[in-house]
Amino acid sequence: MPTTIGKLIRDREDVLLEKWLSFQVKDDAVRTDLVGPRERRERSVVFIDGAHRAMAKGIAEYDGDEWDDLRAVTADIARAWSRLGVSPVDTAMFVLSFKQALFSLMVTELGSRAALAEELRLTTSIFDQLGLHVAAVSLEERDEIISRQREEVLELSTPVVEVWDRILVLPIIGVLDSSRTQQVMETLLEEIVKRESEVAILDITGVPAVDSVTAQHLVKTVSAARLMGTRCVISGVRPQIAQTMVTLGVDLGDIETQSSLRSALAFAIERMGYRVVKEG
Amino acid sequence: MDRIPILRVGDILLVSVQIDMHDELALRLQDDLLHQIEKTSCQGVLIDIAGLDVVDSFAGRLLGDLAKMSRILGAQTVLVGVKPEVAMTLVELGVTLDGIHTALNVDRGMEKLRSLCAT
Repeated sequence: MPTTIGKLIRDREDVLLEKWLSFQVKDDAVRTDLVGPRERRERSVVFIDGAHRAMAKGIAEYDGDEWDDLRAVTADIARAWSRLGVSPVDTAMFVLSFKQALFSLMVTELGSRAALAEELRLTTSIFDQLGLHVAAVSLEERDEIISRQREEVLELSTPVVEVWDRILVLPIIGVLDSSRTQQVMETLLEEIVKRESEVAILDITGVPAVDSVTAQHLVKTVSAARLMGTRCVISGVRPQIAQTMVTLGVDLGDIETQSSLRSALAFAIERMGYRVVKEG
Repeated sequence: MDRIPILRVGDILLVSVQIDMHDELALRLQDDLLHQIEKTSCQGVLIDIAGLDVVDSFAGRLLGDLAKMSRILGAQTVLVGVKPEVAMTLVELGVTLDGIHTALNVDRGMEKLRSLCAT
């Protein structure tokens, strides 16, 4: 048994679409700078179509299967627009603005009638929930983008450079947490095997702060490299870091440390039995 | 009965572990090696574990102890062929083998052992 609202959406689809599109612009419901008019129109058409199909046989509760299609449609919009940089709130506003268009259409077409009250109550709550759904999906998409970027940054940030015969330098930039340490350790150990290196310099110039956890991670990396027969030198220890380490009671054991990469390299070269002399 | 072979090369004993070191095998290696050191009065021991993908905490600790015991008997020990994954596991297990000399491969290990024995 089609409802009044369902019938209205079906019969006045075009009017509703135009009304909605004008509401979207008027109320700033959509970021017109990020979403073009064609994209908006296409999405709106699909949305209205989904709404009318969902309401074809009466207005079911939001949890019903009837709304699955429309939920998928809105999730699609949320994902696509997140990638365009539209905020979750703005995407939710897009869905909520549909209500405005629908109600204004109802007032003009049907006048206000008490019989509509129940339908209105249901419709409002459903579209409110759709709005929330859209916001949630947008947030999920954003989280995914962030975690993907974090992985990319992680991979970019652990280069291992062979600066001299059998001497590796590993510049560490950014905060050393446990997942990062794991990655640093793996890359370093693999490179040690590949290049048959004897000395590895861990340069922590780019590490903002060293607390006891970070120090623990460094000690682990150095121990693992030592097990493979490679001597590690930690360089780039700034005076500030040395101060905090001593104050915190961090023990680096008998790990070789140098204040700068330059002195660490000099140390490594000497250790390998080389001597750098100026010619002439 | 499985046994890990101990080869004599000059005044160096070469131990190459190719099969998984379960506890019993590791203990037998310890016995055999210490007896060989005593018998041959060699100067150095080279233990190659390149064939091992897994080293548990018992075997790890035993390798460390073996190095200390050998030193008491007058022989220097160098451990070679530790794979990255083995190194990481050992560190996670807290077995850092602080007193033991290490080298990347047999070749480097020999070099290191010679310089250790010369001093």
